Amino acid sequence: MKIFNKKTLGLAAIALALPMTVMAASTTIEATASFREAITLGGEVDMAFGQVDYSGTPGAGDTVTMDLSGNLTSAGNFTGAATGTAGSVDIQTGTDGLTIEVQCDTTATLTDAAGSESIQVNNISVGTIDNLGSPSACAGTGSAAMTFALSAGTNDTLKLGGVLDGNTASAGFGGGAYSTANTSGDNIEVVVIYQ
Amino acid sequence: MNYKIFHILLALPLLMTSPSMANDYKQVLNENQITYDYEADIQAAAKVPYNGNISSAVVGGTASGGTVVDVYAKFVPAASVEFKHDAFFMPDFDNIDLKAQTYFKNTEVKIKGVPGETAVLSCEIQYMEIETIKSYTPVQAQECGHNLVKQKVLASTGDTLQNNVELTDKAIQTAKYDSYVALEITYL
Repeated sequence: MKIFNKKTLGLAAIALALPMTVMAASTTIEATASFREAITLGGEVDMAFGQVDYSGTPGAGDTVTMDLSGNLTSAGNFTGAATGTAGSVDIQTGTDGLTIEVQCDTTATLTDAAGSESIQVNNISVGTIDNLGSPSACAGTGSAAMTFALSAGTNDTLKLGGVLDGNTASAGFGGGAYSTANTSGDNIEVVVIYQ
Repeated sequence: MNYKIFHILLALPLLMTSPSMANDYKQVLNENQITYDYEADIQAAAKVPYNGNISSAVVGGTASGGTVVDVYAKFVPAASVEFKHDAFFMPDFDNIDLKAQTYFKNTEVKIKGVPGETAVLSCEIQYMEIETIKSYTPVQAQECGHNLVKQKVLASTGDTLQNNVELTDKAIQTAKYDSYVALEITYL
């Protein structure tokens, strides 16, 4: 009886299971992924206006404008060299063909060694090295200044220019070396993201 | 009879009751009273664009890069130069009978600028043509002389002896009544 019961139960289970196999279905799922290389920036070159001669108190109309090639144009009571050094940032890694968005600060603040006197660079612009004649105005970090399809070796270097504006000079402005790296200075932040 | 085999056999119908099991993990899991939202988990973990069909996803590490660029400028007050004494002026121009004579002798100029900066001092003698009593037009110019043309000077501030440059060129000493000396200074 004991043996009979076990066999009966086993057969019953198999009987229940076998018909269910015909209800099974199978399918497949494909998986795809697009890998994009992390963006890294480097090769920063600071923006240098060089020596600026001035007379009187700097004010409106006293400017030195730097284009993306580093060419300088002086106006008002500011005079300087014909060329300086444009800011530069290399996009060292990233995936070719993907659209890149560039964000950058609109202004920078240069201070003297003591951090007490200041002057600003405003109207900061940015462009790719293969298109220096077409600068795009920076709109602040968080807003796109420009977008482009990344192409290593062609447009993977960004250039920066701006206007050294005498109208932003502090009240006690005087001669000396000014830099965004000094105390109370504010440099230009550049952010590059995939769009 | 092995009871473990028996239990497995009983479980088989339960595992096969959902024909779409392979396509819908969420549904099967809910039937077993286990709530787990894989879709939400994938989105939260991946931080990348995700569509509900899991047919395509973009996987990336750092999708952005940031850096800073500093700006440098050196401001220098413009240099200036002036005659220390009133030695170079046109005397007595009301006198139309002026004759050529030497008015000038050695004198000094005063330079103002940024201490330590090197500047170039240029000197030029300009000869004037008297058109009216008080109007003069330069008609000829010559450099002051070898010793004064583009002379390098070290500027400093204030009225100090260092600022003084002596003009001793012969051309100046022999300048005539209808001439004056023009000075110009620029930083190197």
